Amino acid sequence: MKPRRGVRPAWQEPPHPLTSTAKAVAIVVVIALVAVPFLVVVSTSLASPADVVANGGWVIWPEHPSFAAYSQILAGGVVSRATLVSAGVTIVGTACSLTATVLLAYALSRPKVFGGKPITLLVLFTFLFPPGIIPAYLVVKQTGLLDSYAALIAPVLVNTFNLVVMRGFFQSVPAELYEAARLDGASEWAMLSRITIPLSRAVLAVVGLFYAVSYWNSWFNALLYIDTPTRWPLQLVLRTYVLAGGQIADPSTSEAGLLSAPQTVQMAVVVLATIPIVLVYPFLQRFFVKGVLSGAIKS
Amino acid sequence: MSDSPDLFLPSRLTGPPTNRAGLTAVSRRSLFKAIGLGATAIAAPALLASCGKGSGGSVSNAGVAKVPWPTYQPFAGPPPDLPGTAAGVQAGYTKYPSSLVSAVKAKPGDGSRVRAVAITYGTPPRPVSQNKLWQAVNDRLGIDLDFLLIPDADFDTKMATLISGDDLPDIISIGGGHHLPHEQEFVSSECADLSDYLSGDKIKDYPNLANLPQYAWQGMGRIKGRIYGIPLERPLPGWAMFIDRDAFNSVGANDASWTKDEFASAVKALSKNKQYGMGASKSNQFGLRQYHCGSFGAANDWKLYGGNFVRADTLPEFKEALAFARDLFAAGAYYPDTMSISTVDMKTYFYNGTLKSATDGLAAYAPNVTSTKGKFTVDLALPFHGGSATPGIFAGGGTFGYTVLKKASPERIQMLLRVLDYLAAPFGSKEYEFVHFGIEGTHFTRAADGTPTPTALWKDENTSVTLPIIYLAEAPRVLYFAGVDAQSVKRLHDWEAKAVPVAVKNPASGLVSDTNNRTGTVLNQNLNDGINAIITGKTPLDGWEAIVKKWRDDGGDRIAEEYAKEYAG
Repeated sequence: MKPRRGVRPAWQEPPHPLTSTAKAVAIVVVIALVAVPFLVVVSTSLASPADVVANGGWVIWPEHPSFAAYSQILAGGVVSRATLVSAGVTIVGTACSLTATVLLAYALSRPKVFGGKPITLLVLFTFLFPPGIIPAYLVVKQTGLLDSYAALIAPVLVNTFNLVVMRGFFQSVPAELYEAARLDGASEWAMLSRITIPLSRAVLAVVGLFYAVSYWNSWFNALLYIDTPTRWPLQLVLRTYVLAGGQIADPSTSEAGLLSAPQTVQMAVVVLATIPIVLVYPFLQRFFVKGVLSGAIKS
Repeated sequence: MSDSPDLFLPSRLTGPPTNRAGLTAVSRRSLFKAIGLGATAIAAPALLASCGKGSGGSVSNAGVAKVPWPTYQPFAGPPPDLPGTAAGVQAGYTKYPSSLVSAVKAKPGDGSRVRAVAITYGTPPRPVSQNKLWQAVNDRLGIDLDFLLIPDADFDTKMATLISGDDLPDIISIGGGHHLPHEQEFVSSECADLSDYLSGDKIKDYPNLANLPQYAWQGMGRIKGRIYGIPLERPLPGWAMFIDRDAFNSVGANDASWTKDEFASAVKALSKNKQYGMGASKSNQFGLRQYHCGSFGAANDWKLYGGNFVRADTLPEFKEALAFARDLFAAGAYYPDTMSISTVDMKTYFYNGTLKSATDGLAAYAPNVTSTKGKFTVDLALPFHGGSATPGIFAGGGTFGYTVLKKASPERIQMLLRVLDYLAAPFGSKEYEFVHFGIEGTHFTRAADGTPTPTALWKDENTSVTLPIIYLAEAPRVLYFAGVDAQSVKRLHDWEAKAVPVAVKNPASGLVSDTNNRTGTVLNQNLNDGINAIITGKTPLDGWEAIVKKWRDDGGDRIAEEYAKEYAG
C-alpha cells in the first residue's frame, strides 16, 4: 500500500510519546524481571534473620545489613580449603583433559590410522551409553582411586562431545598442509604441534572452557568418590550450606529446626558461587559463542 | 541425581554436531535419538541403585524364634525436676544438674581406626588436625575416628554405592527417614548379629545402651527374630501442632477440651487480613495425619482387628478428618500455598505472625520458643474432640533410625559397642556433657549456675551438625534446652503429660512387610496425592473410595496380609 502523501513512513517519524513510553515501560519491566531476583538474592544474603522473618523469607532491601551470613560461611576455613581443592582440580583437570582430548582427537582425525574406526565407534558408544553410577563406582574403587583427587578427574578425563567437536575441527585442516609437511620430513608429532594446534586455537579455547567450567561446577562425582570431607570441592561444600536444615519429611526425624532463617546463608552461597563466573564470563563470552557455532555451521 | 558424570550435555549447548564435526555416518535424527538414549542411560543408575545386595529370602519375623528385647535398666543420675514416665513422657530439667556422675568406667576403644558413616544436616567439619573437638573425641573414645558424612539429600545414592562396594564402614547409621532399598536384607546379610551381645540381660554389659527405652528398640524392630542394631531414640510424640497461644486466647479458644466446632471457629476467626489459622508445610500434608486424624480418633496408619491389619485410611474416622480439613481449606483457614511451602518457610511465616499455628516435628519446640521470644507464647495444641471416638495424638516410631555394625570378630564388636555405649551416656553424666557440649573452656563455659554456655567455636565444631557423632548413638532425649526458660520447659512437659497417655501407636511399627519395602513408597505417594487433591477441592470427597481401592489393589491388601502374618508369628 502506498503511504499517504505528506506522511512520512513510520520509521522516519519521530516516535510518538506514547510509543516511547510504552517502549520504556517494556524495557524497565524486562530489566526488572532479570534484576529484581538478583537484588533479592543479594539483599537477602545481607539481611539479618529478623529482617528475613519480618519480610516472610525474601528481603528486597535489608533494614539492618550485615555480613553475618558470609562470615558464617567463610569462617572456620572449610570453604577456603574447598576453594583451593576446586581450583586445583579445575586447573589440573583441564590441563589433563585438554591434552588427552587433543591427542585422541588428532589420532582419530587422521585418515587410515590403524584401528581408527573401531576406536571411534568405541568412543561414541560411551557417548550413547554412559556407565551407571554403581558400575562407575566399582571401577573407581577397583582402580584404587577412591578418596583421591584423581577420582574427580580420571573418570571424566575425555568428554566425548568435546572430542567429537575437536576431531571435526582437526579434520577441516586441509590435507595438503599435512602432505607438504610430510614432504619436508615432519613426524606426526611435528605436524600436530606445528600445524594442527596453531590452526585450532579457537577450538582449544572453547573446549578448554567447557572442561574448566564443568570441573568447577561438578559435585556429584565428589559426593560418590570422596569420603573425606576435607577433600570435598567447593560446590559440594556450598551445597551442604544450601541444604542445611532443609527438608526433613519424617515424623521420626525430629531434627527440624536445627537452623533458623537459613535463607540468608543460602543466598550468600548463591552469591559466592556466582562471583567467579560473573567475573570471568564477560571476558570469555565471545569464545562461548564461537564454541557454540563451531560444529554448527558447515563452512 | 541432577549432575551426570558426563561433563556436558551437548543438546543444551548446541544443535547436534553435523558433518563438520566429523559425524559423517551419523544423521542428525539418529544423533537426537542417541542423545535421548544417553539420557535414559543416565537415568538408569536410579534403577540400578535399587538392586542393592540381598541374601534373598524373606527377612520377616514370622514363624522364627525371636530373641528377647534388651532389658530396660534406667540410669540412676541426677533426679529431674519434672519426672518422666516409662510410657514416654520425657524427664524435664529446668536447670542444669549441679553435680554430674560418671557413666563410663574405662576408655572404650583400643586405639584402632574406626570408620563410621552417618547422615549430616550441616556443613563439613574441619580436618582432624585443626579440629579440637574431633581430637578430643578420638582421645576420649580411644579410637581413630574416620568419619564419612553423607548430606541428607544424597543419602540414598551414596549409601547404594557404599553397599555395593563391599568395603563397609565399621559403624553404619541408617536414619533420618531414609529407607534403603532392601534395607533389612542388606542388614541381615552384611552386618553383625548383635543378639548375643544385647538381648535380654546381656545388655547390662553396656549400661548406657540398657538405658534406652523399650519403645525405641521395638520401633527399630527385629529382623528374622534377631537384633541387628541400636536405636537412636526420639520422643514418642513425633509431630505436634504449635500454636500462637496469645492469638488463640484472643479468640476465646481453649484447647483443654475443645470440640471440632470450637477448633474450626477459632482457626477461621484467626484467618483474616492475610493471616491464617492453620499452618503446615509440604512435608506434613495439611497436618492431616499429624493432628486432625488423632483428634477424630483415627488409627495411626494401621488398625489391628483381632490379628487382621486394616489401613487407617480406609476407615470412616480418617474420612471424617479428611472432610474436616477440606472444609477448613475451603473456608480459607489454611495458608494457600500449604501444599508447596517448605518447613523453613512455614517456620518463617509462623514466627512473623502470618500463620497462627504450625505443624512440625516436636524438636522444633525449643527453636520456636527462642525465635519468638517476646513476640508471642508458643504452645502445643491438645487434640480436639472430633466425634464419638476418644481424641489422641499419633505416636512416632520412637526412633530417628538405628546403627548397625559391620561383621567382625567378637572382640571388635564388643569394642565398638563400648564406643556406642559411651556416646549413649545419659543426661547428667560427664560423658553426656562432653558428647553434647564439648570440652569445658574450649567449646563451652560454665555460667554461675553451672549451665554450659557454648562458645563461638561451637558453631564450627559441634557434635550435632558439623561432626554429628550423635547419629552413631545417643542418650534418650530429655527436656533440657539451653536458653529456654523454665516455664517453657514446663509447658512442653505438661503437654506431654496429657498427650502421651492418649498417644496411639502404629501396630505395624517394627514389623516387616516385603511388599511394603518394595512398593510402599509409591503406594503412599498415590494416597498422599489423592489426599492433596481432595483437601484442595480438585477431587470430590466421594473420590476417596476409588483412591483407597486403587491402593488396595496395587499392593495394600498384600501389605496388610504380610503384617498380619508377621504379627501372628
